[in-house]
Amino acid sequence: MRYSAFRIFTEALRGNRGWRPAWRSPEPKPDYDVIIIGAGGHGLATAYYLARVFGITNVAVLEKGWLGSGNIGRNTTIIRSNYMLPGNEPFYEFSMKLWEGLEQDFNFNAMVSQRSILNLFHSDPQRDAFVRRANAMLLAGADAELADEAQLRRELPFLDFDNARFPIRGGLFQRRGGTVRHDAVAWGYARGADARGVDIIQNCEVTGFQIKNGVCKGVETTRGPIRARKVASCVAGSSGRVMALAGMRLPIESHVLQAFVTEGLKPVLPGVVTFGMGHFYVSQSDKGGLVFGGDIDGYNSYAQRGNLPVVEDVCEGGMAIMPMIGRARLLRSWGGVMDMSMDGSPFIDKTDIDGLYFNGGWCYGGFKATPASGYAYAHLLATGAPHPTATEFRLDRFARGHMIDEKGQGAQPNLH
Amino acid sequence: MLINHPLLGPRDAAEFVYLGDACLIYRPDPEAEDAARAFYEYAYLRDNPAGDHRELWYHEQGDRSWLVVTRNTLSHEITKVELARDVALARGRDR
Amino acid sequence: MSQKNRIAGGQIDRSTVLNFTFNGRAMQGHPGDTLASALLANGQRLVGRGFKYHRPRGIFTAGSEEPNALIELRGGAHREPNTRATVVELFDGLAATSQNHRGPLGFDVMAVTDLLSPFMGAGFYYKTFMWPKSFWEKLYEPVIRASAGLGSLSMQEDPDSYDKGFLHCDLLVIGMGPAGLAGALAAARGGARVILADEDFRAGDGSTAKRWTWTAWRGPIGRRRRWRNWRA
Repeated sequence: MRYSAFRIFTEALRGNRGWRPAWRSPEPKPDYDVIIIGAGGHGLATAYYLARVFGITNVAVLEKGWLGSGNIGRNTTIIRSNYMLPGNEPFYEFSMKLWEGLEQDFNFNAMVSQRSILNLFHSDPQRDAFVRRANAMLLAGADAELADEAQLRRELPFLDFDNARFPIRGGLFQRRGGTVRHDAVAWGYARGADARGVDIIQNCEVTGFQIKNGVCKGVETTRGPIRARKVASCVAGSSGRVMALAGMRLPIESHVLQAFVTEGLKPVLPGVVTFGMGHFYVSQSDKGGLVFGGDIDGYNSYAQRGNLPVVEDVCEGGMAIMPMIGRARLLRSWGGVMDMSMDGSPFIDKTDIDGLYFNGGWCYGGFKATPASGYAYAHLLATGAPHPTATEFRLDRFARGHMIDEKGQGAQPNLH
Repeated sequence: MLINHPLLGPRDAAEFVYLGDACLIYRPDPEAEDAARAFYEYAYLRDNPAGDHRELWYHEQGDRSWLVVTRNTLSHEITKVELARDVALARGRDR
Repeated sequence: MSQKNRIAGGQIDRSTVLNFTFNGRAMQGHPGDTLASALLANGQRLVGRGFKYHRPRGIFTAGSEEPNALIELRGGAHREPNTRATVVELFDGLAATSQNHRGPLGFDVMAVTDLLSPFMGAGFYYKTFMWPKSFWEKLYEPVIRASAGLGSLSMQEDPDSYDKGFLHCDLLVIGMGPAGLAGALAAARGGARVILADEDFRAGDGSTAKRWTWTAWRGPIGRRRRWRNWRA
């Protein structure tokens, strides 16, 4: 069933009784060509591209809860390709280009809104670092624009330019960056994959792997055993728990990241603003709420909630840069499980177990990578080779000394 | 989150800086045959359990001691707090 | 003044009159009123419009669970959008305005969307607005964003300063209804350091509005007379 304004009109005339479910709820078959563990953004995107681009449709996506219930369902919706390192930036720019064509591709309005993202700088050295990053972005085919204080005063007059501790001296714009409606991404990919024959099996938790002589032949689940030639884990913060079932330890710690939204307000903020020095970033959703967040709490956690000192820190960061938000009210706060890696960069790789693949380590930046992660993972599963933009995302890169460390912080996950 | 410091009593976790898994106390022997592999695993691989986790916290805003805290990563409940020095000495290290 | 919606009794001080405005219209209330009770006393039942279809909205509850009576409190840099009228303590000089309507509150032109409700079912926007490709950012989204949200920020810097403090106690009782009051009293008598907290500006919670609870209650600690001392 194709979605369009015409469809809405005709269905309304029929009392809206003709709408069909966007995806099926099939029983799991005893075997598949590929099993993807995790029906989050990346897992569903992988299934979609396996079917649409590589013609592999005998695929099951297994989800322990309901599809889209993980980090894809509760993030701060930002898309950008403003990374610096050559192992990262071409991948994120590939993702940005996929975002730009996504809605027409999967016939679902994901509300891709390239309203710009602005990184503020407050000192000369920070400006120099941003210039270097902007050049790296341009070299990778992305867009970048450096703005001085006068330009920002014109575009965003409500910022606190004369803040005593963090005066705003300018910023780095990526005009093509912005926000996307996160739930629509999960639903659009799910509907597109399902329509092409992929089975999305919800309420199906993986409880073990069928591994014999170093070869993975399938999984054990709460809905019975399922065999597959390839099993692909894609579970973000739960990576440690799932891969432990295969006897693997990972260069990942699971941490909590909190995020917040205010009650709905009339439009005040045209784009995304980030205040790196103060660990704060904010945008305004199409429903009117200000969506913002800051740093991770800093300790290992699977609790999906954080603690009060971070709430205060994040609000302080917001008040420092945008004192007009003081009279707004916080509507909702939540915490998710972030797969923080040892260098802050992700993995899309085979494992040492034949037939078992791993996608994870996205830290708090997985949402923007959703299309490219799905595409690159599908590429790896279909062809056996990494996608050209994802060749550095290897599990063994630490042993080889090839860290992709954007922040330059070293091997401590909670610093990335 | 309150951490019951063995010497100072209950302190807010905000007084501390978190390092990570307490396995970092057990530094491999650089002279051993498999030292390269052992150091790689020591530096980069983690158990990352969903459950009880022994971890290192540094009391930066207090007495600047290191603590080994046993905390459940699902509930944040802390069941044991020891001085890291005591943990290391018990394992045969000289400090 | 005669306010025909008022009933006898309650905890308000009828000897003092407080002046306030709603959408510029002068009204009166008494100390102990919430903005919501004062609006009802003045015969003002329509206080807002719904988020999506701009249907008329009145006061729905008597507490912090209020979903409808969201108003903008104060003006200028002190303006607070999305404030529930049911939790605001009425003060002299209070100025409140309604939110989320174009034209007067009683005749919101955006209510025309209600006529389009068959075409705007839940999630309809996921199924359309995809063509032409450039129109999402040029037309559809700006229109959606302009009609979204309820209250507006003043865009000026928040002029107030805030402080925070730390307190320590043996027992924190949240809620000053009969159970909270009884529990706090019992604990305090047992020697505990007790902090008793409530979101409301008055103790007793809904029980002050319900006379029958005082005569029906039999507690382990005090008799009715003692509880009357609490209420004064």
